[in-house]
Amino acid sequence: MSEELLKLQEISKSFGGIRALKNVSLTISIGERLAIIGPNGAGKTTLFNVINGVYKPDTGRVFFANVDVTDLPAFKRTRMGMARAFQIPRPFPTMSVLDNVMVSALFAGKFKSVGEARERADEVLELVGLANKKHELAVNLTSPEKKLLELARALAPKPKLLLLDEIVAGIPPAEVDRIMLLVRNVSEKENIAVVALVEHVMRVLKYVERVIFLHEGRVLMDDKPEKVLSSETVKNIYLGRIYD
Amino acid sequence: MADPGYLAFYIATGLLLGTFYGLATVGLSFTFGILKILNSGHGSFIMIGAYVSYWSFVILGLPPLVSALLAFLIGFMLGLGLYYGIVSRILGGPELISLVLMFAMGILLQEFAKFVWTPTIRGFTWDLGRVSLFGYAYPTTRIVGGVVSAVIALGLYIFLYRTKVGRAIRSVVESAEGATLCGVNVNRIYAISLAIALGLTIASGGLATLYVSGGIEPYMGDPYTTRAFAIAVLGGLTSPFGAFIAGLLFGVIENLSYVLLSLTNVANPFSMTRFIAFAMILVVLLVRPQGIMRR
Repeated sequence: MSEELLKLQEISKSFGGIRALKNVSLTISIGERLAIIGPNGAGKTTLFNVINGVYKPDTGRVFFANVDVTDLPAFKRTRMGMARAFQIPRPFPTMSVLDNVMVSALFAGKFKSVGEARERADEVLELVGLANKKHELAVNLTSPEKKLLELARALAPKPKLLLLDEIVAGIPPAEVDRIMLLVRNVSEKENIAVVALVEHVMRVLKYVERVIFLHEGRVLMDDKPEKVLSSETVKNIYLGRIYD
Repeated sequence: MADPGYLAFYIATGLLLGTFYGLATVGLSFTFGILKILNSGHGSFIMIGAYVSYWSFVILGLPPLVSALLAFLIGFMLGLGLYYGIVSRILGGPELISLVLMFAMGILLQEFAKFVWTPTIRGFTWDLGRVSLFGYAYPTTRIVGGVVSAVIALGLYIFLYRTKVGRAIRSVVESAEGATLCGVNVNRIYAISLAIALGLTIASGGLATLYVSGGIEPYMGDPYTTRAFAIAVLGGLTSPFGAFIAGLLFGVIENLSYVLLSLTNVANPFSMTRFIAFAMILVVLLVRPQGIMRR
């Protein structure tokens, strides 16, 4: 279980004069589930963008499955097994739900033929509970359904790492539990590492084994959830705000 | 004049002409829908196609339908070269840059044609006889050309909706960012799309010789640029099939306005035909600004 999947080595990234990430190093193991928390502006999204290749870090290296991927574009990292689901889903609006998932299975996954991709897409849509909507256009889905589609698209290629970008923001608590339970089950079954980026950690706490607390571009804590949440620093900077 | 065969003749020839207009516009919509580039030099690519058709016929004895394949290949290679040489470097920049670039490409091609082939107006006749229907004779070449254009459009449809690469192209049209996240190499899709678009445009220029047997010269493309822009807008701008259907409609409108004008005797039908066609497009767009195809 402790075999290393993703390693960030002293990553820094600035935008103009703003240093969004300062010397961030961390390691994520195969099949591990963790949450990255921190107040707005902590650098969470920048970190995700550096991990999946949207941004290149100014300094530092990114290793994925023992390969230095720092210079690889996002689509190549996707093909290596990094999947990302966005806070604001980016579906192909006037393509069917099935086609949406098939594109991902075809290009990010090992499913080379249209037929194989369709089978895989059906399987994943069944898993997330969108099978009955597969012929609908993505634009006609409700907001939680779009999140499920985003998840299905991320899972279709059988990734090794699933990056969840505020996947549970803006949806009702019952749905949050359903989605997170689903994520945990798939993660356990297919040995997928999950990194959930959340502002409100309480909503996903019971589904993760580890919490990284990011503040002003630095990793302030990286430990078991209960330890991070009981730390005075975290309480002061982060939890205080929420429960004030 | 009240003869229904007479009207049917003009509608049918309008549809046949429309298949050419449609095919000549598909590439424009393709480029705009996928790369967000408006090919302001569109007509010059059509002109190149007409020359390919002419020289293939005169030197090699190839009929236009065969040389259209050659024209497609030339356009495809040109598209790849243009993409990797220039377009890939300006993507994401201000739209005006790509507009000026394609405009310049158009002028470059015109001057190239003038330089190597001189401004002489050229033409040739490919004759397969006529087919008679309800007392009216249709040139066989145009019927064959119409069928071929329709088959190409259908082929493109199948390519986009049934194949792996077709799905990738559609996904890039919808969201380039989303496509990247699905593992699609967006850069390569752009290259392939520009190649297909220019291939189809130059091939359609080859088919143009079925309609303008005597008008092949370096500046022949300009009227096609304006027509294609109007047709593309009518078809919803980003939809290749919308463009094809709109092309059919435009061909019929153009022909019928010719008939209408010949009935009235107020104006020279030839000089007014395009005016009427464009005026009708304005009316259509006032009613449906999103084009005829979009829901």
